[in-house]
Amino acid sequence: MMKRIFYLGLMVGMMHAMSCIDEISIPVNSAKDNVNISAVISDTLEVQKVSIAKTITVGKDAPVDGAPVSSAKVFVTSTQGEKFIFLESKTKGIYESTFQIVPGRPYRLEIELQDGRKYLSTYKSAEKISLPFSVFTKLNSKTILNSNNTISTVSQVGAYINSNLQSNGKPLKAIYRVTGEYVVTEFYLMILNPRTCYARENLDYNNLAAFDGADYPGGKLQEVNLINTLADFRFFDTYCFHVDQYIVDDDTYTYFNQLNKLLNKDNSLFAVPPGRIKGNITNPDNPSEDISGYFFIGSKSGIKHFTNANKLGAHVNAMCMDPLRTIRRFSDFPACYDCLLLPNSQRTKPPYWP
Amino acid sequence: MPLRTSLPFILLVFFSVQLAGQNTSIAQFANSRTSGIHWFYSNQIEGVNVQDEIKASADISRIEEILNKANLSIIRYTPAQYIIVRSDQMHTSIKEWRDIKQADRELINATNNATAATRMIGSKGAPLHQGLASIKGIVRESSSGKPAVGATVQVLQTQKGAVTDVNGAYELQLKPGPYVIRINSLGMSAEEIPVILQGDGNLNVKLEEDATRLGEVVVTEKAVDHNVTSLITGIEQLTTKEIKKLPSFMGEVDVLKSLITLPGVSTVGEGVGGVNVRGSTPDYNLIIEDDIMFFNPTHALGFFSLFNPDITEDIKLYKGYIPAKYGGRISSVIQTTSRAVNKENWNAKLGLGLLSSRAFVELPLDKGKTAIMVGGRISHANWFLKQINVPDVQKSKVAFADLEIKLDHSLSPTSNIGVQVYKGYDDLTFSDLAKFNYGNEAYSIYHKKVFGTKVNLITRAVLGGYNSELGDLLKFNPSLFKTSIGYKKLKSDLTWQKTAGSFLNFGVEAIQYTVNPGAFSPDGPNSQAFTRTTSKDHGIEAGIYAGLEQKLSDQLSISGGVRVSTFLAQGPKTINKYKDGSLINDDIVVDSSKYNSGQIIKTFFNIEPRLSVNYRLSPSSSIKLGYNRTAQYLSLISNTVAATPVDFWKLADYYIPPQRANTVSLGYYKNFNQNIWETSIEIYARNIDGVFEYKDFPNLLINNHLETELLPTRARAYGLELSIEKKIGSATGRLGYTYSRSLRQTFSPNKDLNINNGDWYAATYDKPNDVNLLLNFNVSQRINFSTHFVYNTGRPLTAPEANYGVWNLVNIPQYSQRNQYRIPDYFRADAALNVFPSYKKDQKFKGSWALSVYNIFGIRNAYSVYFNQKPFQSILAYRLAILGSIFPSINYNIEFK
Repeated sequence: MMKRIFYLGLMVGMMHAMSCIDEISIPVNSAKDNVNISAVISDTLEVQKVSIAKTITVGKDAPVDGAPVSSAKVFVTSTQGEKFIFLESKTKGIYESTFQIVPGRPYRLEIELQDGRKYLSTYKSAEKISLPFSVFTKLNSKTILNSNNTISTVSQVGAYINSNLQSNGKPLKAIYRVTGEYVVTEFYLMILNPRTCYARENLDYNNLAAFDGADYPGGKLQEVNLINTLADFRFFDTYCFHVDQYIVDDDTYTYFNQLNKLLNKDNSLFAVPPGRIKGNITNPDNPSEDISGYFFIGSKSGIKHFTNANKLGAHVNAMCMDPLRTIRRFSDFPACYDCLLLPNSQRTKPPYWP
Repeated sequence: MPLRTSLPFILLVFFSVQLAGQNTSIAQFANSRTSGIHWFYSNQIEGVNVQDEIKASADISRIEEILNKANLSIIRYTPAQYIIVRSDQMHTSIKEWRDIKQADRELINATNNATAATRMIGSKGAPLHQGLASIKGIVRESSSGKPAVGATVQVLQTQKGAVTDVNGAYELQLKPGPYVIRINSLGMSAEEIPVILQGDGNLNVKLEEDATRLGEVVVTEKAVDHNVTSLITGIEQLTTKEIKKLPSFMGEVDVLKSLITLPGVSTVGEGVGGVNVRGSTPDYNLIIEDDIMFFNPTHALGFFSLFNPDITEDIKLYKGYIPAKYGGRISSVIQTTSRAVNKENWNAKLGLGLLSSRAFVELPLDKGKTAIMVGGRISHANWFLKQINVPDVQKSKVAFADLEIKLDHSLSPTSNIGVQVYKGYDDLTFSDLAKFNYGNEAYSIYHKKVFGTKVNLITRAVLGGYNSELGDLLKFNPSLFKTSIGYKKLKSDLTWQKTAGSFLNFGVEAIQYTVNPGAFSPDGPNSQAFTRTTSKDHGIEAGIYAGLEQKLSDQLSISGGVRVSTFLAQGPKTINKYKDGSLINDDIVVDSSKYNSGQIIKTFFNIEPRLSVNYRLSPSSSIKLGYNRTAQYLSLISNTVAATPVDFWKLADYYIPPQRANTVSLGYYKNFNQNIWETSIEIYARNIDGVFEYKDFPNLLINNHLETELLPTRARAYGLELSIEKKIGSATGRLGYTYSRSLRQTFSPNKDLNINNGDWYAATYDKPNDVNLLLNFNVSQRINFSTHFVYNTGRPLTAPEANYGVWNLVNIPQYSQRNQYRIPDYFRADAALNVFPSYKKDQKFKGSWALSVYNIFGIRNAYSVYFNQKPFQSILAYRLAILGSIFPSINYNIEFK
């Protein structure tokens, strides 16, 4: 018996220690200053956005966001002579215009920077495709290895879709975006007039979901998990998953699929060698200029899926109540005193909120 | 008994006399007298018939009377020795007899004094060649029955002697007479055998294991100055006995991984399948056991090799000069040899380890003629996984097993036939997400025939292959991805050993391949997953070769040969024709051609000369020059640093040419202090054409037009290897340093597709500096302590130099030129303590221990470096160390006999 215990202890210790990951420094030539253009135009009438920034250096103390490129002239033009002018918004480097494209008509992006450099994208178009899909959520659990080498299980909420990526017998390609929105109410001692805030969050940051209907029998995506997020106070009252589906062309799908491969987030031992992804924007005066980013048009449809802890069968506490049901202190959780401190929060109840 | 040319006067006495009614010949009479008086006669009268009665008669007078009737007489030489001569030649015979040579008298005296230990060799009848009789025989180890390779057979009364070859065979030419033959073999007790040589005959010897042998004695076919005297460059050999002393991961003796301790051999990371030899990819190595090919030589995704140490006798690596008998790969040959089956005694072994256990049994079925050997291993890592309270781990599986059987039957002392079977299996499952099953199997029949002692003919037929199955365990529509490679091989190899160190070698080889490059299918009846297949590859590779080793003078020796190989790519297959011959993508297919089953799509033909020259500068030093041209007709399609479950093999076809390499190597070898110290320096250079690289983000799976994903590429490698080795003494060891480079260049006509703008760049496995230090201390005859230190340059890395955002969704890294950077350098130290079994001969049960510590300093060496960006943070580099801790292990082995 002692021998078994010895072996077991040894093996368990080994299993814990077998794989270890730590941060290291790889000195690279990170002085990059390329132009990065990202433009997504939907086929619905809404505010369309174009982002222009510089690429970002890497490293521990490097900035997170690229320096915005301001004062650029930005247009989307069509082969039929239409020209939609984008204006720089309050957020520098973000250019906006409200319009709706004509299905099937080719459009392209035209940009002129303040220093005179010009950029053109390839022509893109989108067919109007009404492709219904559904969203549901459920609770699942995940085993995680903590920083102190202990293992614990956490509850998380998964958002899943069912869809049929097929039209007239032809498989379609789609990209899904998931953002979240939740409601919280302030709570602290002696509170007289608690406020309610609605906060929006990017759930799918670096978590790209692109699918090709040809990869699924009949183009049917069944219970495909798009995103998981921790089951916590955000689900105490109401949580809204905004799931947008963009039907895209082959080239756009290939581009995002390559991005997916490049992200390589699974830390796999079998990672493919990274490659260089070429977008569809060029400088006609200097074709060798390295320009990051992409311009595309997608046929968009969206679903707002509401849920909460009760529906999911999860046990969560309100934002301002810790597990012992004591009131949190301001220093620990300032949003309990001022809910607008939550990122991307507002006090106005969205019209679609139940 | 005949007195042959040594008694020349008797040669004058011959008449053939036939007497009616008398049907016992002189020869039958003389040979029937097994005790008492020894009878001698000349071969000229051996056929003379006399009355039957003579055989039963003990009375000399009566015998003489009977002989007289046949006109024969008797000469009494000693009271126990009589000579039969023709009566009418009596006078002459007596006269000649008085002149008998001293040596002949000694022969007769020796015969007279022969004891039970004395072996009588030869029989009368056959004429001698130039007055010399030939002794041939095979020296074997008594306990195992395997040939004693390199044993010395010495005639004590003369300066003559011989060394046994790889079959344990030897041959001596001597004048008839009495001799004492002394047989010595390292690790075995010397044997002295008195013989009386009368004519051509056999003397087979079995040597007992030396009970007092030192632990480090290793019996190999290598001479002590082998590195200086051997003709070829770049050959390495390790015996299982040596390998067992090496520190190992989790105590698993790993035949293949042991090669990594040698100069010029490296791997891209721990727990990776395959090795890189002199800057080549793993699929450039021909991996064979007794000419049986293996396509994935590992278990558990590369942590362990498939070669069972109980079955394996030794492993040889040809990394410079490759003999003409080997073909089909361009870089190296990794050849393991299975041990000879012991036909004399049974024995069994059990090995208990932390991750796996072994069992081995060897059993004579017909003693001395037929025996079977069965060895198997099975992992029990699952048991440990179940004890870990993590659901994902509990649901996971790491299981492997293998079984090897060898049955050998002696048809005659010089001919044997046998069957070998290998079956290996791996079952890896990660939780309820994915599973990966794979395995090698091979079935082989062989026939070995020795003509005389100099000509060996080995014919072997093999049916083998490798299958892998990657399962996606999704709740909906689970699917399987299967690949396989199968082959049928026939090879016949003839070696004529002209003299020691000089031989001719001829052979033919034909291999038929069938490759399934991949197929998706539903897993289970309820799955509606797609079935997608790619057309199978079919092809026949054939080769004919001739090689020789020849000593031209005391200083100069050569080894060379030529292999003529051909490959027929066969249908059924559809070959696309592309616009303007371009292969950019499948959108520009303009036509296609269909080939039926067996129809030849394309034929390739290569002449592969091989040459190695050894020039002895002094008895203890030499220089060697080697040149190889090699061709390879199949490739492993793998776009990752390490081998993965979705890798598959691809045969050369209409668009994918064979890969061809030219390799030149030059070495200087010098031994010191009576060969106790061996030193060497070798440089090499290799260029390869027909190589391909993959486009960025290639679509490799289920692709019937794989050629559109490949870029034409050149490859070259060069390097320098230094080695200092102490081979004899209680402390031995080896220090090896390798400087090597491995570079690639793509040259697609579409320049946009070329990697790094078409410039030369470091291959993924390019690791310029590599240092290996192996130290071995024999604490006592039974206790051995060894350590191993390894350092090498980190392998190349493509790193992000910037990043950018797309659609507020992802932050995309912008990568550097391919392989512009390197992961951190690698350093590791291991140690092992081996307690070997007692050498007592009569012990029925022997136990041994192997304690090993892998990565003593617990260094977190990078298996890989990857980059990740947490939300709202910059991209950071992370080191993944898969064996980043100390790994102690203990193994217990039991041997029965």
